[in-house]
Amino acid sequence: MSNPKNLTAYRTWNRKYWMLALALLIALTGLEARTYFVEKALGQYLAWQNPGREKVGRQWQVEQKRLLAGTRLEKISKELRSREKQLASIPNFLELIRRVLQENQLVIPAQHFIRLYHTLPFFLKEHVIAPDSLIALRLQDRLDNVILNREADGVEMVLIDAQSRIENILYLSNELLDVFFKHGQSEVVDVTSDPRFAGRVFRFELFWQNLSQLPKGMQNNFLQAMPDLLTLAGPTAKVAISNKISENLVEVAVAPDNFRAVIYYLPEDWIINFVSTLEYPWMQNEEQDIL
Amino acid sequence: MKSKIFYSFVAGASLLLLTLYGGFLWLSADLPYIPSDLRHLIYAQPTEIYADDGTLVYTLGGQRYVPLNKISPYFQKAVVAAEDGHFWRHHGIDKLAMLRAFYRTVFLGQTQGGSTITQQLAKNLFFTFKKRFLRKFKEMLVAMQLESMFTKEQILEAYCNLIYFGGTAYGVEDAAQQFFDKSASELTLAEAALLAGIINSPQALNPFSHPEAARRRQALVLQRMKRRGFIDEATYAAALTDTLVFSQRPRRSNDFIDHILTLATKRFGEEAVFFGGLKIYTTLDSDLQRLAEEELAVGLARLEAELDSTGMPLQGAIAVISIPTGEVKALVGSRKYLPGGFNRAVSQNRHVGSGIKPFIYYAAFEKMGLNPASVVVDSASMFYTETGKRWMPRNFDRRYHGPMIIKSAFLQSINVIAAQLGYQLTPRVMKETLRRFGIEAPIPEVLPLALGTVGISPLEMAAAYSIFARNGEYLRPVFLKRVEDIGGMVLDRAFIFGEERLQPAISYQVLDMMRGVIEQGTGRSVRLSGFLAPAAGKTGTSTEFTDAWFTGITTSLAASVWVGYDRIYRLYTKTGRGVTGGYGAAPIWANFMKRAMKRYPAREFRMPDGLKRIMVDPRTGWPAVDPAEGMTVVVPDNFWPGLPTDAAPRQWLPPADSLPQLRNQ
Repeated sequence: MSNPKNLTAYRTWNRKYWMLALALLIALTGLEARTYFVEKALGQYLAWQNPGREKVGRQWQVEQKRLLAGTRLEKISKELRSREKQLASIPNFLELIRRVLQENQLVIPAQHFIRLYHTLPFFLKEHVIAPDSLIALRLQDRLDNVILNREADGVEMVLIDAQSRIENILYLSNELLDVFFKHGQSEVVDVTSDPRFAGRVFRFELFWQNLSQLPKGMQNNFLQAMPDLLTLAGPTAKVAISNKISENLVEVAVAPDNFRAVIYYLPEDWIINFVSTLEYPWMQNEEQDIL
Repeated sequence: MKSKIFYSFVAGASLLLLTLYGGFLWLSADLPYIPSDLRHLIYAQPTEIYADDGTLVYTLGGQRYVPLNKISPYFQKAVVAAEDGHFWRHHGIDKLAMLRAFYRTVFLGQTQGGSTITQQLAKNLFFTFKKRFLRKFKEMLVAMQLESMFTKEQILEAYCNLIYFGGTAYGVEDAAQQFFDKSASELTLAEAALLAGIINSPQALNPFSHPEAARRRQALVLQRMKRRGFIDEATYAAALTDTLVFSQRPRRSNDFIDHILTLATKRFGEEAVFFGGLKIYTTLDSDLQRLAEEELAVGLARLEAELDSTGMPLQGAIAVISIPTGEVKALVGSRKYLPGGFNRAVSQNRHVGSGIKPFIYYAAFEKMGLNPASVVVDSASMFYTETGKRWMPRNFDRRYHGPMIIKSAFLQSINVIAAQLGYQLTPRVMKETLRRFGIEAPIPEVLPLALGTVGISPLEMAAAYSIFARNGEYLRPVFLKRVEDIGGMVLDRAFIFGEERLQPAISYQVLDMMRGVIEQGTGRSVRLSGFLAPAAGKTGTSTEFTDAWFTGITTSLAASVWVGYDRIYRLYTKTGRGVTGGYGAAPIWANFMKRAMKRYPAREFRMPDGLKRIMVDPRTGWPAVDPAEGMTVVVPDNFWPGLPTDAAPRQWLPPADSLPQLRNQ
């Protein structure tokens, strides 16, 4: 160091290298300022590393919650769809009522309700709702859903519009439901000895004769209402009219023998029409036919 | 020596580089995965809440996404000018801006952000908003990566769709809709500049709550746009003076919506409500909600000015229910709405005082065969409660008034009579009666129940009183009409069921007494406030004036108003007068109804068959000889047969032989 030549050479060398380093730094800075090569290089490296990274961070958490929400809502809508499917599989009105009695409440779309309504025998429909009222509601687009609630004294049917407002409330009493369930069902009963049929048991032949005297339309009503009438016909068959009237419907039994009968419920005015065909005093004159 | 220094330098530089590289590796180790399409990460169908008239009132959890060509070019330029002037040049970070921000933060103590649009996008996508030193570096790294993966246009598009504008507005499309009722593509220069200005501080620069600050910021953004050459001088000057037409329906939450979210969350779970993209159709009437909020705020401010200072803010709540449908139309749970705040309109923690009396009198009429003309005696009475303690109820005026008809006792809100009736009914029957009125709050089976020592929410009170307006039919309050999922499938819907819970004739007799409360009883302030439509109601004041209530009905609406402090504290005026329901709550109810009922016809309540209106002496219950001193009451048809039902009582004299019977009656 004591050598001045060496010192000068060192200073020159030192200045040169530091200047070089500085120039390099300035050049790099200039280059970076113009091309952003550092950011680009780092960005490229990070993009290359990207596939191996995890989905973390705020928006990914939100995405996770969205997935959870979707799963939950899918579960709810699946349940609803399955319930809709179950409801759609209800084949007739009686089954609908059975389901209401089991589940206490059912909500069914108006279309489906009308389909089930049409499965009722035509003379029983009036007892649920008059067809013209139903048509009026549909025409005015005032019927969207029907809610059926099980009540202590029967089933309440609430007809509601698309805004969920009540259009009409109908009640099916337990007595009427009993009629619905028993109509067309076979029962173990001896009509000749059961007190409710006493004095109104006809041999089938007499019943048929008198029925033939009714106007054609009324005859057809009887035949439609009692589809088993012809299959049960026979020399020992009897038709009995009960003294029991429920909701203006008269119980009529068609018995192939003395052990069983198929029970029907027919409108009271039909029975009055039928009875009017019997010759007076029919009970005495036809004693041998009326058991 | 030369080489020693050189190598030291090289070694130092290498060490620095190694440290930087190590730091980079360490920071980049837990960076998030970035998808190849940012749109999928940002877009989410929001859950939308609709009012009764079908208008969208609130959205949550969602994010609309519009392509860049559907965003006004003005907004694109404005946002670049406002947030990141060098956006189109840099590669994710603006080093000069950062140095400037660093200098100002450290040496001048000013807070200034140096984040570029790309960094802000990175922050909003992947990081929390907690300020952390290391997070800043990670943001920078993610910004560099974003710049490498996406074009500038894609980055700007993602940013415009993700950024927060305050309230429930996320993304420029939502903001344009909420602030200007138009889409992002239709924004004018002035509107675009205003929206771009909001991003900096969405709360403080909200144009609805801070219009001046928002306009100042807008001017600054316009100036920056001009400086950067995005707009010329003339356009700049025109935009500065351009009139802004704001949306008249700012979309913000309220207590009703908060309650809706609570109900929906209970039903579907939090994730489904906030991130499921549901459509929730409610019974909310936005106009009534606004009126209720305004009238409660004004009424409380006016009352507070008269009150003795307590240092606590006076609070209040209103619940409004539609009479024909049972739908809840408005719900205000506090004086000033706070998101997720305590909703006093549905909380069951304040005693209703005399507000309970209509239910007690109904039970007395039904179970004890009384009617509004029956005579009772207001005298000092002492009862033994269930626990064997003596209880001596006192009247509001600390006096006893002797014999009077029931209607008179009701109008004057005589506590002793209510207590006598409650005693004869028994606490169990009182509780059962409250349940029939749909009150689901916990009810203690105690004698003081007759005077309203039970906490009931304003919502339940409004629903319970609405039964009187429907002549005994109860409708469960409905908030949610229908809930649909993202595909339009109906997940839930409300059905309105009416249930005959009261006898119409008895219900109407109580209703008529409640009419009297407004006409000549403790609720006279309703008429003094200028509300003149047919209405019925009852005041309520809890012990020691801690709660003031008024619940009233018209043929269209039922509303219940509560006023009090959150802590149980007396409401006293500066003159030392206790605040009653008639003084504190009834004027708020009346002012609300005055405005609300402009939309509904002022109809009379329908009197059921089997009732008649007669005029009797309010002290003896005898037919009034002088109409000026008589009181009109509604009684069953068979009560005093032959008594004229119109205002001609002088012409009627009971037959002499019926007098003993009448006395018994």
